[in-house]
Amino acid sequence: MAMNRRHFLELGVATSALAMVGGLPARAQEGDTIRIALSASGPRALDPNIITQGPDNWAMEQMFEPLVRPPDGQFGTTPDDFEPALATSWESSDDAKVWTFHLREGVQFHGGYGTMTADDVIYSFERARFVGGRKTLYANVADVSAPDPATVVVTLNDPDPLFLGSSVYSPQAFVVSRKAHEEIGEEAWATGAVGTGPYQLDRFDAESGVYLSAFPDYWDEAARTPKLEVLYIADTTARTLALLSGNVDMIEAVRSPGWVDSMLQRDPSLLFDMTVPGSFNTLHFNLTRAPFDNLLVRKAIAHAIDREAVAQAMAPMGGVMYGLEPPDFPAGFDIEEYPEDLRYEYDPDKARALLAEAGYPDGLTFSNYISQREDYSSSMLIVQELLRAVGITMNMQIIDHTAFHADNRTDKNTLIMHASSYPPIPLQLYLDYLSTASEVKADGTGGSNYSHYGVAIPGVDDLIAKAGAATSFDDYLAICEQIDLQVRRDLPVMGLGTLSYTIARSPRVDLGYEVKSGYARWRLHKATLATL
Amino acid sequence: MIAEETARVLPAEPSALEKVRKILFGRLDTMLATGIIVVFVLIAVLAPFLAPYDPLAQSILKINRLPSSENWLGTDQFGRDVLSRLIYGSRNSLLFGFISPVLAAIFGTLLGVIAGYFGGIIDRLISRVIDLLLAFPELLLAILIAAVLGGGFWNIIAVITVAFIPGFARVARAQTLSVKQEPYVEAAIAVGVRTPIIIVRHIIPNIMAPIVALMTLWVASAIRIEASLSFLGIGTRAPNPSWGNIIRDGLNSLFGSPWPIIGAGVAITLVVLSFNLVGDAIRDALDPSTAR
Repeated sequence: MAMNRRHFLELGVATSALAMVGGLPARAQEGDTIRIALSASGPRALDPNIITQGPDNWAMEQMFEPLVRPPDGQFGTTPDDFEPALATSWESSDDAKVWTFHLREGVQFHGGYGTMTADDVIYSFERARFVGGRKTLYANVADVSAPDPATVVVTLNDPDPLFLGSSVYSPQAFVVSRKAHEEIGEEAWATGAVGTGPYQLDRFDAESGVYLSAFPDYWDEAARTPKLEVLYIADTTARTLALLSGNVDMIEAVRSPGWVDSMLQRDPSLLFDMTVPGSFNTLHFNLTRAPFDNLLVRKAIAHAIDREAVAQAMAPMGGVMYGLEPPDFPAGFDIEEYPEDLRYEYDPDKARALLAEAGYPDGLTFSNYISQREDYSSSMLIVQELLRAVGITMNMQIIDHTAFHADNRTDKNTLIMHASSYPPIPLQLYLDYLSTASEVKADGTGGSNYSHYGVAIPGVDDLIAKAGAATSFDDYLAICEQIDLQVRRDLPVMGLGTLSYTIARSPRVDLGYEVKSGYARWRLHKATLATL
Repeated sequence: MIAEETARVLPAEPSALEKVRKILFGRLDTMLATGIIVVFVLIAVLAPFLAPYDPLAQSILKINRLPSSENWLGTDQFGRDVLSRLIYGSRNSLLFGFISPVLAAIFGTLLGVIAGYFGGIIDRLISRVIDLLLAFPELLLAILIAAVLGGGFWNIIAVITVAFIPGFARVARAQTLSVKQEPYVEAAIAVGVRTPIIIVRHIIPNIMAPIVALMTLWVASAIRIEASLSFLGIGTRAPNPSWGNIIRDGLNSLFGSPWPIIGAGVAITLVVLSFNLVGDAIRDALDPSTAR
């Protein structure tokens, strides 16, 4: 074909237009790189001991490892569920207070920082206990020692039969290299800590994301895909388009009503990986603010909320949760398992009657605020409409996600929705939401007990302490159920529903296992990308 | 063309009102624009009678429906009727569009006249503050104030008003400076008319033309700014609909139903375009400085 000047020019224009359109580089090596796009504007931290935004955990989950872990795609519900990771075997004393871990030999750290030793494990636990963002989780640890370089012994103050799930399998206790930290220095460490995982860090870019490659000296089977890019696209439309156009292979879902259906309409071949139950969405009443200091008002709101409708609106990601735990979790209640007076079934008439009894025959008005992130805002917009139906006007301001959490933590909110994924360890949630130690403080030094429960209505701390001292799982469970019933009577906080953490995935990506439950992140070491 | 018309009618000394009427209905495009504005004002006023559904009522069973005989523009991600939300949304958008420029015109003119008439330290004080505010684009200023005050109807009115005041003050001051030199003002001062009377009776009526022209032009800007603020989440508060937050909500379920975005987008475009056309026409008719 002869190419004249005009054709040549047209071709040039078309090529440069294409080049301008593509923000992401053309995909030259199909199958080599899996790209996942998450909902945040950019990565903030890569030190497992720093409490950061949820999406950052995705890269860390690939880069770091705990001593033991549950099978891929699951939470460990009982101690037997856990599998060896950096520890090859472990045992606990009969009173569940002394835990001994036998370390895997010859595990290499990334970047040539040598072989993992017991000293590195001790160092990692020390950071979790003393400098971490989640020190309360490790407050029960009395001592960590190493009788020999291949063994680590953790001694607890109180028995904890669920120690593996509650503290060992938690990012704060992921094993990092002491030598690397000392050489790198604190500042660089925050965005480039050194671990032992199947993927190592190539580049941390605060704007676009985290770039990883398979670690050649990994102790187990090497990661199946050579490169992994954890990208950040906060804008939901842009993220969705990136998946539909094939620029990325997986994206964090938009958790708003109808989203999954609308995506399937666009591309029926898309796959959705969901954790069940996923995050627990809870409603916290600030007991120090009128009208929520009034139990009748709280009961009225409990009766006004149609939990089934909330779950249905969020289908297929939504689930029903009545108390503080989903029905099929330990200490979780189904509606008919509650005594009649603690069921708070959806009943607008009863809600209105309770409001009248509380002294608000004409309804009431209050202000609060909520994050603009879809899972928060859409849940609360549904609540707002349900409350309007019984005469309660919720003046809700929708604000930036980061500002929302900052304001919640400084006790500025009134009716607070909180969403968090918890393992099947009820005590963790009780400590966070109910205990006096976690009471929210105006100066921001408190925790996430937004209702001031335990202080405004005392009594729960004794029960929590009893649960913490339980030596058998059955005793523990019985006390946890007691706590849930007590909370049901006092209503400082109640369940709104569960919402699966969801990733929309191109059918070209095979994860290598099925995602059933777990935290809002999972490993990609077995993932492969089929070439077209 | 306008200049020719003005030249032709000038000998008859028509009143400002007549000039406006001629401009509004004398040309096809402005007539069409006026018609569109009238229709939207009627929609806003008659919203409760026109809207087929409660704009806030959710229906979890019919999420993201496409247009049908039941819901003419479909439903949004909460199963709310899009048409009803657009109709009620026009109330917010138009109210902001009218109230803010009027308030800004009142306060801005007052400030400008005071600065221009009294001069000296008062003038310098007011002018510097105005200069300071003028340094920021209106939208940026509005976002700044809205972020501090928070959303809500009156806060947003206040925000847009403050953002518009500098423009009016500037024009009013400049006009006052020239009118102040007119013989009739000097005469009034000479015969001992009190200052407030001079300002109200002699200054303000003679500087109104450019102010009114500016006001009509800024109705469109006010609607646009309200939509932008609501889109950013700091304007009209959910669940109350305004065209801006309908677009914002619609973005989340763009692939569910594009109709909220299309509907609100068309409404904003039509109204803003119409006000701009009419505003231009009024300015051409009233403001001698732009007449060529």
